[in-house]
Amino acid sequence: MRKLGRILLIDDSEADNFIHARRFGKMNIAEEVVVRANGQEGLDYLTTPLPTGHYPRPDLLFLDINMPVMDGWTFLDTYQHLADEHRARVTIAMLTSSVGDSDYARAHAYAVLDGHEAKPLQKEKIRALLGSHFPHITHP
Amino acid sequence: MSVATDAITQQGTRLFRTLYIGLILLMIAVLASVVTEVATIDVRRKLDNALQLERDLGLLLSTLLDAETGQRGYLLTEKDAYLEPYRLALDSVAPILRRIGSEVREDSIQQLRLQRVSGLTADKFAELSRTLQLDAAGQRDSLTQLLESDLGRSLMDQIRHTIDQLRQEELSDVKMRQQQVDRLSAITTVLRFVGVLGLAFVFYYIYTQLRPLYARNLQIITDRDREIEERKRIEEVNTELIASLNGKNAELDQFAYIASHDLREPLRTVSNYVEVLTEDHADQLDAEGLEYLSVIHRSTDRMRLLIDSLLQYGRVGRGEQRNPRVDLHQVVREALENLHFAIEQSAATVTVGELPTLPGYPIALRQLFQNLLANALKFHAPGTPPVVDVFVADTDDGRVTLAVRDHGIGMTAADQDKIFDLFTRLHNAHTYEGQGIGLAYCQKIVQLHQGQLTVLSQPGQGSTFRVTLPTV
Repeated sequence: MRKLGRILLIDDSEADNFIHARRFGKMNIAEEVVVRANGQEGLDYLTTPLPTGHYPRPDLLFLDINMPVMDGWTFLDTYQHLADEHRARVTIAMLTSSVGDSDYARAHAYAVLDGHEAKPLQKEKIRALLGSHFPHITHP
Repeated sequence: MSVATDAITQQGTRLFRTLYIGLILLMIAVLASVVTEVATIDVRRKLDNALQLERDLGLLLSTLLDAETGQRGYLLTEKDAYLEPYRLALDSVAPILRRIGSEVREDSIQQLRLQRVSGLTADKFAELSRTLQLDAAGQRDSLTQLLESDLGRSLMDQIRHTIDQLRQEELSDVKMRQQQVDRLSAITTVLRFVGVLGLAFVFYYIYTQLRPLYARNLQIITDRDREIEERKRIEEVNTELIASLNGKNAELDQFAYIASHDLREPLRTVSNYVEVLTEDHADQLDAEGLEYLSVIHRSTDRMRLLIDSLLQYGRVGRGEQRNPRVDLHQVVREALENLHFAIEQSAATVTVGELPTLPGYPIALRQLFQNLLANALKFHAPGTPPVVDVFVADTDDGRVTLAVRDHGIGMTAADQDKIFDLFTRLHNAHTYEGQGIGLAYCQKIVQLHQGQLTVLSQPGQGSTFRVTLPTV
């Protein structure tokens, strides 16, 4: 296995989504990058079967916190009780605030989160993430 | 103070004196009543005596008359039954005379009169007895002669007269005593009246003296109540103020959050697209265009740093627990670890002396020393490696002064006044970079610890920043 199957981005910022999707594409680390604009859309996507009959099951999920309709925390409240087939293999929260904020403590309270990163996701951060969560992936 | 005390003492003495006067007046009134009462008792006793005497005198006279009447009846009828009153009188006169004797024992003139009455009574009985003897002996002539001599009538008149004298004397005595009592009563009534009036004045005086005292106490109590009310009101205002401050703090937190998220996002987008342009479209731009892109990139970086610094400044000590024992040695070591890149780059020499342990906010203190050390490392003459010392400059009672000394470029006295203000920069960004927040931030951390931050410096002679912190 040379790259990930699917990466799901749940973020309301089009600019961030554009930059992140472009960066994933340039690094060529996934077959497919799926973007959803808020927590509700993300949940709908994860719990709806694809035409193949399987659930999407992304390898990697990047979750923004501040979003309209359903924010990241509300999403996590539901997401942590979902069955494995409705969840991503690795879930990362994207925090925009600085170290020491209450968001950090809150993120640590969710066992379902595998980690958190500050936006934007630069190449180095992405490489480090892949290195720790998907050591078998070869990436540029 | 002592004048007021004297006034109070004087007032107290006056009050006591007045109270004594009042008591004396009361005693006079009571004594007057007692004297009158005693005198009245004496008069009443005297009056009883006089009545008794009156009754006994009347009894004596009627007994004698009864005896005489009985004698006359017997002489006329010779019936023995007529002699009954005479015999009775013989027996009863002596006790009557004894009673009268005891009733007049206090008056010698009356006693003389009584003696005369006793004598006349004896004479009268002797006369009566003589007539009866003459009658019994049948000596009618002698009897008639005796009866016609008017001796009996004359004796009787004398007795009546003396009894009247006894009576008159006793009555006048009673009358005199009555008059004495009446005079005494008049005097004591006046005395009583004066006493009661004086007492009323005393009470009124005491009332007028106590009244202001009471009023003053009442005033003091009212004042105290008002003060308590006022204090309560102030407390309420304070509580409201604290609540409103807490609200403001929450708003500030919210603002900080919005600033961190919403201000950074567009900035991030700009730098992201600059990166996209640099990576994907570099071939379509000339050297000048690429240089502009790099300027935009650096500006957004500075802006991001500025926002982060401002956020940090706004949140000094927020969300951090005060620790009773913060090891400053460890704090400085952590600060130096965070600065190791700058130290290596500038080939600086940093010496740290013995540092104390004191109560404070560990992260804020670390940021304080990190900022001061960063400044010390930054402001050195080009080409000269910085030399920085951290040491205890002074230990006072309950306070310790720590110094961060560099041998760098220093500053003028005029500049020293400005450096702790927000956004003050002494140099342009090309020579020494920075946002002018660092020292304002340090000042805020020191204020959070109720300490003081000062600087000693001369241009070219380096700067020493002195941090004075409480150790308890």
